[in-house]
This record gives sequence, C-alpha cells and structure tokens, in this order.
Amino acid sequence: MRGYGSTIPHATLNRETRLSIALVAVFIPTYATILYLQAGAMVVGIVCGAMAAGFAVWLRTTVRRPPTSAAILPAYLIALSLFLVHVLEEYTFNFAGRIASAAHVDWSVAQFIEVIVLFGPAIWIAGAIGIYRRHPLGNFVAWFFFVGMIIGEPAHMLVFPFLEGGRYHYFPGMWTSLFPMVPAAYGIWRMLHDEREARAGAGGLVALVGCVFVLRVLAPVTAVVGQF
Amino acid sequence: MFLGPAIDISIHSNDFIDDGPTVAQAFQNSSVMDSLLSPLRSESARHDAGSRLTALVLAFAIAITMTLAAYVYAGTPYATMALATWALAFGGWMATTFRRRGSQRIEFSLYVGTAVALMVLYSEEWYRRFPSTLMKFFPGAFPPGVGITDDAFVGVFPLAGSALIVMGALAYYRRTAFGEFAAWTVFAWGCVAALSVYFVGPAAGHPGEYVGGMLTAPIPLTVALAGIYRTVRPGRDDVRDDVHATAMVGS
Repeated sequence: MRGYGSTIPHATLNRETRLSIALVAVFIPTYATILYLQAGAMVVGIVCGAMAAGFAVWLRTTVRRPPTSAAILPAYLIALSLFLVHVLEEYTFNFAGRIASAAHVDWSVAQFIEVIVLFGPAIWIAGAIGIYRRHPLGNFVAWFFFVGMIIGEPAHMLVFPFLEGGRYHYFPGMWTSLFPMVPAAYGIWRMLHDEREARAGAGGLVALVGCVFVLRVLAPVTAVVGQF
Repeated sequence: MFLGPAIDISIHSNDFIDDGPTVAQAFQNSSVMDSLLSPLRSESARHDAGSRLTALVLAFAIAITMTLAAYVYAGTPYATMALATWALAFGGWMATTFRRRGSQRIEFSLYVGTAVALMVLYSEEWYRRFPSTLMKFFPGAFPPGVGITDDAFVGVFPLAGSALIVMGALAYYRRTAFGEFAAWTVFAWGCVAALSVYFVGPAAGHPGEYVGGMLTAPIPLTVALAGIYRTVRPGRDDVRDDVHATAMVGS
C-alpha cells in the first residue's frame, strides 16, 4: 500500500464523491452501534472492522477514480453469490445461536435474519448498481465487501471453533467461508493494479507537461545566453 | 486455417435449409426456428445461434426442474407462481431479446433494482409470515411434508433465490443469451411475486384480509414493470453505462 497516497496527482474531490465519503463516515458508526447492541463486540469487530478497513483503503486508492465495471463487477457478483450461499449455511446450522453462546451475548435468530440475511445482502446487491455506474459509493461497497471476505470470513475456521473450546470442530458457515475469498482477492488485486497503472499514466502525463514547460521556458533563455 | 471448415459448415447449413423436407420448412417459417436457423449463414451468427440454442435448452431444463420441485416440496400455490413466472419469462424472451439479441443495451440497473426490491418484499413477507398465511388459506394444497415454513422461506427466497439472481446478473452483464432469459425471469418474478400477495386472499375467499407483503409489493412490481417496458421497447442505442460514467468520474 506504500506510496499510494503520496503519488496521487492532487485533484479536488467532486461533490458526489465528498457526499459519498460523508455518508460512509456517518453510516459506519451508526451501523456499528446497532450491531453492537444486538450482537456484541466480536461481530462488530469483524463486520465494522472490515467496513472501516475498506473505507481507509478506498480513501487511499480509488476514491478519485472508481474502477470500470468490467474490471470488478464479475468478481463482485461471483463473490456475492458465494457469500449468499455461505449465509445460507450459517442460517441453516444456527450461526446466530452458536456465536451468541460463544460470545456471551443475546443475539436472536430474528435479529440475525434482519441484519445479515435481509438488510446486508440488500445493500450489497444494490452496490452492484453503484459499481456498474462507477459511483463512488458503489466503489466503497466493493472495497468493504472484498476486504470483509478476506479478513472476516476466515474467522469461521481460525477463531470461532476455538471460542467454544474442546476439540477443533465444525462451526456454522465453516465449509463455505473461504470460497468468497477467491473472487474477492482477484477484485482487490484488480482494483489496485488498475489504480497503479492509472497513476503511472497520470505521472507520465505530468512529466510530459513538465518537459514541454521547461523547454518552452528555457529555450528562449538559452538562446539569449548563447548570444553572449 | 479455421476459415475453411467454417465456410464448409455454413454451406451445408444453407443446403439443409434450402433443400430440407416440408417439416423443416414449416419449422423454418416459425419465429423460434427462424431465429435459431437463419443466423447460420455466417461464422459469428452461427456461434450466436449455438449460444441461443444452448440458452434455450438450459432455460427449459431449469424452468421444468424448478416448477416440479416447487410442486413436490413447496405445494401447488408456489408451483402456480413458478409456472406463471416461467410463462411470462419465456413469452417475453421469445418475443424480444431472443429474436433481436444484442441489438439493444442491457437494463442492468433495473435487473439489480428488482432484486433489491424483492428483498424488501421478502422482508415484509417474512416479518408478517406470508408462508403460514398461504398454508392457512389453502390447507388442501399442502399435504403432510409439503410446504415452505416461515423458517425455510428465509433460506429459499432471500438467500438461495438471491444467490441465483446474482449469478444471473453476471450472465446478463456479460450479455450472454442465457443472461437475457435471466433478466426476463427476474422481471417476471418481480411481477408475479408482487401480484400474488394480492391474489391469494380473494382466491381463498378472504378478500379483505391483510397478507404479508401487501405494503411493499408495489416496489418490486414497479421496478420489474419498468424493466419489462425498457426491454420490450425496441430500437434503442447500444450504449453502455460505463461510457457515461467514465466521462462523469474524472481524476
């Protein structure tokens, strides 16, 4: 990630992007508060941690230049479809009850359905429109979703089974947790790759303009100096 | 290297069309077979005909399997809804995008918008127990072991159904022949799922009774109808939204 912020050509954010940043900045703590009241700190750490990480990476990379839909929409849709299958496994095998018991919180199945099955997927499906139209909010949703799949989903294998103690065992959602990572990893790589190329192109343009400027300014000067 | 065999096959195809038996000629005159066979005259068109034929068979396979599964596991009301959806989807597809494939831009935003609106409808249906209401209204349509409970409803429609719709979105975005059928299916399902909440009450003899989904049903109905309207309307420019957005988002 080093160098992304420092090499960006300084350009002002347009109104739409500024509004999107403000909306996300308000939405994250609001959603985190609601989720904390329902599911406790651990679930908030995973979900809203991914959200905050996605927000930070978005600001450091593609906030000024959302990627084309052709670059990330296929990966996003595949990841989203796999994620819905993953949530289906969680729901079928009572993820809410097990995680609530492990984290010592009172998170009902109805609350799980509201937040994880209905509200979350509705936002993520709607995010596809934003990605398709290269809207800044759509780009944030893509970052949040991809980052969430990478840092959040492995918890089903690396964290949750150990919370319950005893021998390593099945935890709801475990078998389908890693597959959304595959298209998500590609999506992240593709966004960073395209952004890096765009910056290189912008850097080259700046260098070209600089050369032309130097030649235009210095040529008369050297001509005058040459006369002496 | 590939041109020779391609031309050769093309000639054979034309020979078949020109000199075929009467039955083949009759098929050729029908709109569906015409759509399938007429593009065989060039390499790209033949490839397109192949993809359409594959999409057609795949669509039939999915439609028949899902309708029968709905009847066997979920009961007659769900099977009727599935049948109505497939009928509308196939009819619309055959009349529009199947015949003039690639001639207009895709309505991706309306496709995804319908999926989101359906999630809103599912939310109300789940919250107000639409599956239980259906079983209460039509007890004879749900023999023992048949039917969708309120719990199973969450797994079937918002999760498994949405996963399929999202994969269909990918096929539609890539402008595949099957994706155009997927779009018709989503628009048709948006209409059928929305209208069904208004029909089940009167059909069961409870015309004035509230059924879960009645408040939010106009949302998917409106978006799906907009999708159908934009898909049916012919002669639109083939412009991708990416082009707009590229100009909009400058660095």
